[in-house]
Amino acid sequence: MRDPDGDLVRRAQRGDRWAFEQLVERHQHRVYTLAARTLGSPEDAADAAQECFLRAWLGLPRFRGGALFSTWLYRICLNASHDQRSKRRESKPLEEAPEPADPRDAFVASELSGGLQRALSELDDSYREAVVLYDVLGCSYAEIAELTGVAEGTVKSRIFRGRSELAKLLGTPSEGTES
Amino acid sequence: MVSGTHPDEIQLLDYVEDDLDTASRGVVEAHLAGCAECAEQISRLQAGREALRGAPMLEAPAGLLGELPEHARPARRSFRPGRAIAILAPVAAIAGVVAIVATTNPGEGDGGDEGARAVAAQTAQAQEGGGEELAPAFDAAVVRSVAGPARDVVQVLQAKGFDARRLDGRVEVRGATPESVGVALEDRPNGPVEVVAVP
Repeated sequence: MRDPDGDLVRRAQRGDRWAFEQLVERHQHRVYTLAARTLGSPEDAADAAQECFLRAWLGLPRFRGGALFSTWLYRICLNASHDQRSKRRESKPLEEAPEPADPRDAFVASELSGGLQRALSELDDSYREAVVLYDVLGCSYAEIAELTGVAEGTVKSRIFRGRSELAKLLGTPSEGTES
Repeated sequence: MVSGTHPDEIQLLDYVEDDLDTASRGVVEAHLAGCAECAEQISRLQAGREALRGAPMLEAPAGLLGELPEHARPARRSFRPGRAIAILAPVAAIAGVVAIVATTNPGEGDGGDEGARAVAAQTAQAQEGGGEELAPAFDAAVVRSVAGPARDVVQVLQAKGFDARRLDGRVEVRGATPESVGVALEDRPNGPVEVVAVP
């Protein structure tokens, strides 16, 4: 499969910062969304996304193109998010954030304090990652399998369970009819 | 009444995602018509999917990309034996000449670094003189990416005395350091044209 980012990746690998900035421009919202839906906090998501791009820049010379650049980037983002969560656990919990002045920040804050995010936070990490990658970011089963290191069948099973649990947590109309 | 055994998780997901072939889809539909439990699972899968797919992409805050450090070690181009021979042949020839000169002129024998630089410079000249080495160089250092078109960039650099040429959609400057090329292009805004220097 031809990587749509291939040309920019090759240039960035040779140290071309402009090319890397184009890659960041292309992927930053998806990376941020992945981190935000994984962590549930705008501040932690911003830290994780920033760390992700820094690690990607430093790791680019070792990226061999066996996977899509985006797949590689999402893997780094998930690792950075896990690290951010551990860091948060070790330090004090996030204090009550002040009201965001920027309407875009307010929108993100509102999204991450809504029912969907609360339900996502209740899911097992592997289920949450699977449904966010598949349903929110639109990754294929094969991509998710590659970046999570499990078989495609396991990815499907995680999506099945993640969606089912999410629907229960969100209280679908048919909730309670299960035997 | 339940038709056949319950489909497994993957079949139910494939059904919701419309990934089943016609025959398999028919089997699952026949089962769902008589199995409330599986029909319930399908409803949940669909509800979960709708909730997730309705979630918006979140806009990253500005300034996500901070100051980037230098790459620890730039990626090397893949090894191509044919090109390596083309490059190494003049190196070997020049190294031989230098070795002879060093042997016959002991007074300059301790200038190892200078000798190596001379070899590198002459290698570049040898490749340059040949005029056939049109593939991108192994150790091209990116100067920066500037506004195009590439032919204008080449003209600007040539007017300032640089040996610049378009190559593989970028501009390659031979026999120059990245710093000197950078200074020559300092007035040019950033853009998509990659400029590399081959010292």
